[in-house]
Amino acid sequence: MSPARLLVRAIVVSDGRSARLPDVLAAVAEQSLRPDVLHVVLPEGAERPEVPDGLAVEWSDGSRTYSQGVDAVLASHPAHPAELLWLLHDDTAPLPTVLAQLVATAKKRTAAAVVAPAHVRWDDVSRLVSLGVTTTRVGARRIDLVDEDDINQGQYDEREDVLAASLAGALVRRDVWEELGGLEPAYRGYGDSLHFCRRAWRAGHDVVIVPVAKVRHAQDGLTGVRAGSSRGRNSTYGLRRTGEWVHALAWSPVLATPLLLVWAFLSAATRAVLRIAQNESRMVGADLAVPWRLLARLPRVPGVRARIRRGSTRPASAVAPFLVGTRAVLSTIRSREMRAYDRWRAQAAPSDVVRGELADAAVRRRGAAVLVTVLAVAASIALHGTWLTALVSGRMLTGTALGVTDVPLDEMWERTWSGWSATGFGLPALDGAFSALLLPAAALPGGLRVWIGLLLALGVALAAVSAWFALGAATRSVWARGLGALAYGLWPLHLQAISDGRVGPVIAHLMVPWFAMGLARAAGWHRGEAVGGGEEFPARRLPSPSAAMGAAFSLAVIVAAAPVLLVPLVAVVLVAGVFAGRARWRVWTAAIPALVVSGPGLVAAWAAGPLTRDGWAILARENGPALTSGVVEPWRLVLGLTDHSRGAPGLPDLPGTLVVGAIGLGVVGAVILAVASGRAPWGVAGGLLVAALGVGTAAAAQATVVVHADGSGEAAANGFAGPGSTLVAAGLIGAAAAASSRLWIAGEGRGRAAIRLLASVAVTLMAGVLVASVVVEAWPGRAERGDVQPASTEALPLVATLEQRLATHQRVLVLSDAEDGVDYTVLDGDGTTILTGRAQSSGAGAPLARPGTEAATPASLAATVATLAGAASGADETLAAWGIGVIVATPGSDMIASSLSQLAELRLIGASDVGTSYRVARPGSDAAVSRAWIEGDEGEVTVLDSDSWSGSVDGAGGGTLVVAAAADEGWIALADGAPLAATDDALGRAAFTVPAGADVVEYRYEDEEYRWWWWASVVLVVWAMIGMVPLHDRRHRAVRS
Amino acid sequence: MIRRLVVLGAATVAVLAVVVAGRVAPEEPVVAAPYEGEVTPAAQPVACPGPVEIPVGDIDSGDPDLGSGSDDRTYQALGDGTEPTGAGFLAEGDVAASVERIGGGDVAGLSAASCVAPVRDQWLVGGSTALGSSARLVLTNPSDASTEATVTLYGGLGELEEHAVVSIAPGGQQDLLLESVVAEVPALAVRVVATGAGVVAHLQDSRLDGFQPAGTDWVGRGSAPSTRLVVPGVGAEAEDAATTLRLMAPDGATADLMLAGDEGLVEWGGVSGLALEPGVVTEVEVPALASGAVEIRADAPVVAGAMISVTRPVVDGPADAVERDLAWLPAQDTTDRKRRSVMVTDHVSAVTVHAAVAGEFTLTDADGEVIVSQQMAARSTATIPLEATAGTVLTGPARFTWSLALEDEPGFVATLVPRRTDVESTPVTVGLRPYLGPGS
Repeated sequence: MSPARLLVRAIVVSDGRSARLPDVLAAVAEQSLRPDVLHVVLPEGAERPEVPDGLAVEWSDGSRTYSQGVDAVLASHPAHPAELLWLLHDDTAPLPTVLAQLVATAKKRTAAAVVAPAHVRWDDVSRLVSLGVTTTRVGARRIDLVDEDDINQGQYDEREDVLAASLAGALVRRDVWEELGGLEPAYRGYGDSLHFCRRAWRAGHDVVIVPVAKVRHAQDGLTGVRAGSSRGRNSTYGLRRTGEWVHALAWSPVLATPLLLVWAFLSAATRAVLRIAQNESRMVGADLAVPWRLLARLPRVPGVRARIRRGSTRPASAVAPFLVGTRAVLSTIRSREMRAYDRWRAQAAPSDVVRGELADAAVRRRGAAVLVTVLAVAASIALHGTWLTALVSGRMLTGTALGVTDVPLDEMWERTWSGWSATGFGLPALDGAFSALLLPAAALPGGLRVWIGLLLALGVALAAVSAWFALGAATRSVWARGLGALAYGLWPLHLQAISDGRVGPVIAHLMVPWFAMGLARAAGWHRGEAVGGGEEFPARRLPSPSAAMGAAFSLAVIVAAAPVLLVPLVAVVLVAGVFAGRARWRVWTAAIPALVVSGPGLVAAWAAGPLTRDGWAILARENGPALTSGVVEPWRLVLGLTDHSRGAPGLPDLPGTLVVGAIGLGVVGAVILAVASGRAPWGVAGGLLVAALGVGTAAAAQATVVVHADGSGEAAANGFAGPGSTLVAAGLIGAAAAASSRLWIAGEGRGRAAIRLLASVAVTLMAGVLVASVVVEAWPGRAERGDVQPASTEALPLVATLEQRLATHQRVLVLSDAEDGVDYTVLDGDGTTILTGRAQSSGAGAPLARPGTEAATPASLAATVATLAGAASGADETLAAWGIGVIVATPGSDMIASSLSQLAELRLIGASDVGTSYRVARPGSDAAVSRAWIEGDEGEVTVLDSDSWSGSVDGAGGGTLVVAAAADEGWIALADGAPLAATDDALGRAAFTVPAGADVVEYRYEDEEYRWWWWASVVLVVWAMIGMVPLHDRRHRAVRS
Repeated sequence: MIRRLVVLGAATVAVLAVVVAGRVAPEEPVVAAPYEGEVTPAAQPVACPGPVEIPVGDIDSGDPDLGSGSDDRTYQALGDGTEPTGAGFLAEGDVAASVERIGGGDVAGLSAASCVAPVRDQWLVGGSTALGSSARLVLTNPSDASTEATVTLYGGLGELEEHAVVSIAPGGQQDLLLESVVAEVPALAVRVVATGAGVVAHLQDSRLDGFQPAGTDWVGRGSAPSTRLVVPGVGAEAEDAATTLRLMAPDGATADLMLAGDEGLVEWGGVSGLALEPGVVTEVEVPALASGAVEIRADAPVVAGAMISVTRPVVDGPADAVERDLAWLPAQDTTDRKRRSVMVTDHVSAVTVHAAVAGEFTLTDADGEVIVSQQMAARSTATIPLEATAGTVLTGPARFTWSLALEDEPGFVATLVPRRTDVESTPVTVGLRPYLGPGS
């Protein structure tokens, strides 16, 4: 290039959507070295802005992209031998000396094809926006060479050669521009500068940055101003990210393309999870769309690659020194995060005085937390310490309501995944929420036995600790928090639920505090730490999206454990949202996972008739352990009392009731004081309303029969008042705690002294009540509240459980001597299992999932069992028909055992101290008794390999496929892939006609509706779980100020 | 102000909620009724205990008059398809019986036993473990599975603490000397509860009066506790025969006793409204009568049996000494209205009938041929001589209660009681209950 004769052609391309064009023109006019020619490309029909005096502008009509606009100008103006294009955007305003500095550099660096200025912020020229760009070796991540918003102190002034720089405001040699064909359209505007510069390097040119030349860049396109988007940078995130991937595809070896595509999908999925955790839910879609956008642009990639190949004169290694490796990427990310974090900290930093107070408060708080935990654990051990030792020695907890707790993972999984409840002869399940809820416990080391045992044994401690954390949102007084937490943990109905083994209400009691805390923080209602004279730190609490997700997750868990709480808690969420101001949508979303988890129940309740008793019975259903309980008066519910607590040792009737209900009385007394004091009116009113909801829920639940005898041995039961009472406890304790906040510094002079004295007396009194309650509950002579007790994990003899686990998946009939006859049950697992969750049937006996139908149940076996009891023959046919391959006479049941010994068709297979087992043979066949089999026309039997809900066999042959489970529309069978027609079965089993010559026959239970609800619940709950991780969003915008 | 109103409003709502919640009408859970069924067990063979045993063993003193045993022993076992089991035997047919005549020694006399099918719960009223008496319980298990029998004893002071548990192998037999369980109980009632198909129990009651035999007989199975019982055949021709009725009410009862003779009811003072303490065995002397039956009506279930003791002169001994033989008659339930059958053995001399209502009493053999026929008045008895060959199966009508009397020189007596030949169905309650493992 001849330095003597340079022509600078400035081209401003505008899409007419930026208001900054006049400023840009003014900036050009003020240049110390004006360009030789100035073109302004405007869209057709756009209004031309005012031009500063003395500036000659050649107007031209625009086209769709920036590159085309430039090309249109060039096409109508022949090239000058040494022509430089000064490419300006309508939001880039160069400082006056820029062109002079760029031209000077262009003259000096004759090999430079691109001479680019530094970009600074439009509104603050001391802050850098961009000063050169590079990329990784793979090319899928653009790396800015300066930190955004870094203060320009001249620290980069030495920089010259860079891989790339933004072309906005840069001088580009016209010959190179034309040689490279302008900007690459495949990038759609994002990443094309990088691509252009990289091509320039490969074509034998240099790219030079001039750090002292500063161009104000408003980044209107990047921040979505042009598109009118309110989402800022996020609005173009997808395009930018796609551009980065296009760059990677364009510059990597062609063989790596499939790998990069897979990587793009994995990266998008990972980033989507991160976005959920950051509660940037809109970005999830943007991230997930990136690989698909990339696929859409894939056809253009070969063309891009071809152009690169044609235009390159330097080898790829020529640019390698500019590319950065993994370490540099990590350091870039870390410095970006640290910068945002520092900025956040700087804004939220307390003063030194406050810092000292906060440290004191933290010490006090931690000490109290440890004390509360120790006391609560001590109370747990005093009440149920024997359970802990039993768990350590390998035993499990059992109870009438609880069933056996050593339930294997696969049983829990099959129940929740299939939607088929294997209890009895099986029933279609309404939902699988309860087994899904306990699935993690079954999957953990130790299994359900240990974790359910710990949940119950430490139920008091867990509830107290949960309440401790939640009460922190209502008060910062460690005394109020501690006493409230212990009162909540020792709430009598919670103790009753633990002793009865009612796992659902226990879990609900543990989770309600977390839900309450999540809701309070989601709306920004939580208290700050008390500092100074009644101040709080931070002074203004911001709503937390993570907390909303935490509330959503807690609510989903609560309604899976105790569905009766769905209606009251959703009402609480709705009302809270109304008062939550700008956080209302965040608050309202907290109800969504719970509503979806309860979806099948809501639909069934609607079908049964909303606002009817049947509908309510479905809403108030109990999925897990349930037991009949005495209906008590509402005032007892307020005190947390049950039918069991009508007296204390040595103190019958009312005096005893008052002793047992002392905690409730203390809490009610505290709430009366809170109401009278007028402190924290909104908190107290909210707590009272929640308590009122709780009383209503508890009374309505206990008055309704929510569990109907399902024909497999479980008795009908009315609803448990516990979950409702949990709301009462939470509401009252929360109200009292809210009013106690900053009580210590309330009033002045004598008033303050009086308040402090009163508070001390009240605290001492309540502490005494709590200690006395534990003593009363743990009193040696006092009757157990429930019947949960440790037992051996071996409920059935090993021979029987082995048969259940084989591919034949036999059922076991358990017989025990009773007062005047025999009791029986049909088992699919090692003992009666309740924890997999109830299938739910209506009062009429129909499964709720299939209203109006009737399913065969083990109740139909009564006559057969009577036959066995009388040592009469003929029972084996019915037993084999239902897949019952083993009969177990329980230990001590000598009468039934010797009856069974009489029967020639039964074979004794073992006697041990857990029972005497007999094998049932299939009449008329050598094939073993099984869950499913094919009866050939000649009477031959082919046994299928089965689990509780599916099975298959190779080389079947024709006949009738019989599945020894209650018939249901969900059963489907396939022969060599073709669906089989169901046939009627006299016993009410699932049966299908298998055509002759069938080879692979399989069957399974499939409930599409169930499956949809299941997946929807899983997706939403997992979403909530990820979202509740308290990650800041990418820019730490949720600063506390 | 608004804040104040908010709090008070909320408090009012809370109080209202408590008041209104109290008005919710509770719904009662429906308790599923257990299944009440009848089961008919598989028919099992009948079993007999076998020969009597000499309590002290067969001691040969060199003098035939002083030895405990006797060479003059005949044992007859009758029944279809008999098969030995232990000392006794099983029979395939509906009825079978054994009779044994022992001419001298400690157990001189006639001892007859009707074979019966196993049951789970049975009562034997009879036997004594007083000095000189021996009560040998013979338990036979004719079924194919082992069984475990729990033997509970009742005496004059009520149910005894001492009880025994005996396991009997399939097709096996076990002896239990009750004096080894509890001694010095002069009047016993025995309950045997067995598992599985049950067990057959017979009790050998052997008594000595000093050196003189005081009688031996098998105590057969009596009726299960019932409020209406009849003991037919309590009469004896011999003048110095003594009849004792033994009663026991498991749960206590008040019983009215009546004695029916050939001409109708006979005066029997002091036995109406007899109070029976729970579990206490009570003995009542029955007035001497040539032919008769005791009717028992109680307000609660009782079990009963009668013992006839007949004297005979001592052949070679002190002048004033007498020897005796005894026969046990278990009570029969009159409420079941079922036909009963018995197998005739040697020494059968007569049939003693009690009629609850007037009618014709006939005994037919297996071919349906009438062997005995007699018109009876209501609440009367009759002793009808019977000529039938051993092995004949006699079946009587449902309305009458009857037994066979056996006698032989010199004053040996025994009885055979007919048994129901239908398979009794038993009620059973079947409940569906969760199972949580052993000990739950």
